[in-house]
Amino acid sequence: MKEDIQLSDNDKKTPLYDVHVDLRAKITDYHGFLMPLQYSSIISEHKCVRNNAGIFDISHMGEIVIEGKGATELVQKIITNDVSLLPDYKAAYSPVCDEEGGIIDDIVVFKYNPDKFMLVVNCGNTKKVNKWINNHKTDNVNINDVSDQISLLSLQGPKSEEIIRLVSGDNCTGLSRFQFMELTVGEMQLTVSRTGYTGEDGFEIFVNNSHCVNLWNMLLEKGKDMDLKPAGLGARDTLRLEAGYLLYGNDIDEFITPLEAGIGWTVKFNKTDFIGKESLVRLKKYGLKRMIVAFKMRDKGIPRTDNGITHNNNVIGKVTSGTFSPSLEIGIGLGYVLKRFAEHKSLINIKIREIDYPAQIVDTPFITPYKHKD
Amino acid sequence: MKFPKDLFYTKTHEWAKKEADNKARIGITSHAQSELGDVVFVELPALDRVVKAGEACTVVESVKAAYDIYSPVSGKVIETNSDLETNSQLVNEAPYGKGWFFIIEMEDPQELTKLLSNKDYEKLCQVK
Repeated sequence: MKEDIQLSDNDKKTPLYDVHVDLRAKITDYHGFLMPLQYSSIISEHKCVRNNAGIFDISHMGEIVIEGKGATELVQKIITNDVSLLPDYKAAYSPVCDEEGGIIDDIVVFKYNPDKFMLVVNCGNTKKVNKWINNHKTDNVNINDVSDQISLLSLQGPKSEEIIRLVSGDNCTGLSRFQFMELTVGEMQLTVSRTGYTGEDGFEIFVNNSHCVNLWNMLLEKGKDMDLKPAGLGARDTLRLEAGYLLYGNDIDEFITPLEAGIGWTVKFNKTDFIGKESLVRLKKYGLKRMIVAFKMRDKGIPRTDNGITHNNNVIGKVTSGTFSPSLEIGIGLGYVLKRFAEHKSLINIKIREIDYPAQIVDTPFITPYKHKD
Repeated sequence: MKFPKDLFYTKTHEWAKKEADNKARIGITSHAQSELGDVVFVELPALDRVVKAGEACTVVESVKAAYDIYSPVSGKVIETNSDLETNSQLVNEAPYGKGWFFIIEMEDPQELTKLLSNKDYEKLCQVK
């Protein structure tokens, strides 16, 4: 077996790095950050989130604040979704596209009010998105990349609400899906949103770097009786894939449009001009060549990124994400196929080490998701 | 972390144990299984396959990725551990015992002497 992890001295650390090391986490390089891959095992952490609750350090995520009288106008221009009618203190998922409709990043837009937004961006894209926004800057806005000052913890799982109640009373339990609020707990100024990347109920909590370790310890202490455990990026990936969520860099990038990626619902053609609109309108009119599909192995085989997808011995596409599903105990994945093969329940093959293994196209999520109150 | 004395080790984290009649039992080390994490699938070599020392002949899949396993010695595969088909986590639970991979009929038992001793292998793991 050849080991593949190379850590570099230039890697960034989150405020929790030493805590992860003390917990004997396996550390991995994720887009230039030293992050915990797993503490005990991916499968046990995954099941802990599905059955009880898990806490993730996702402080590597980027935060860009856009403020000023022109904030709504700028945000509306760079995202494909429409936040003009979104209530204050509500968040929305959206791609940011280039002129060709290619996805620059997929982000969550937090709307404080029409003059203040926070964009939560993928860590590998923070600089790129910040530059993109600045290049399209309109009058009367300030753009601030605050990623290096803000930490982010994600509390996920069916017991999240009980745990957050022990931290902040009933303040956050009334939040609906994608709603958020600001509150003070002890000395800590927190922004808490009911969001996540696991398919479970959960909360994401923004906190200043200086209070990050305190918040982590407090959550673990309060959640002890509910079996709250730290969970790493390994479980984060298997959980998001079971939930059918896309991962930037794997399932989407600048060569893929939201229409092909199955997130056409985030492209609001009725709103006034936004970057990429013309290309996406044209693509919609003339039809897509390829389409994302979710598939489940019929029996054996674990699909991995870049495996071929075949049908009657013809290559029809490629796997973009694949794993062993800890919940279903079978291989699952996402990939792109020629549009005419993207039919629900169709049988396809996944080429793994030169052998075709049968799989079936299915709907996402792969698992039964938590029913969110809206 | 255990490094049993009666085994021969490779730099790529496999072990070989000499058995009667020029046979050797092959598996991966405790360090290797710990690095891999949860083993969810093992693709063993076909019976009678002839392999060279250092040749990739088994694939171990963890949740995250697939890894090639290299034969420490040359010879013919004469038995594989069929328990791994239904119970791949034996590799995590007992890497030196029930989690073995295959038995090889060695072409040249002298090849074992080119492998690492438990002491040398332990040093290699500590450098990491």
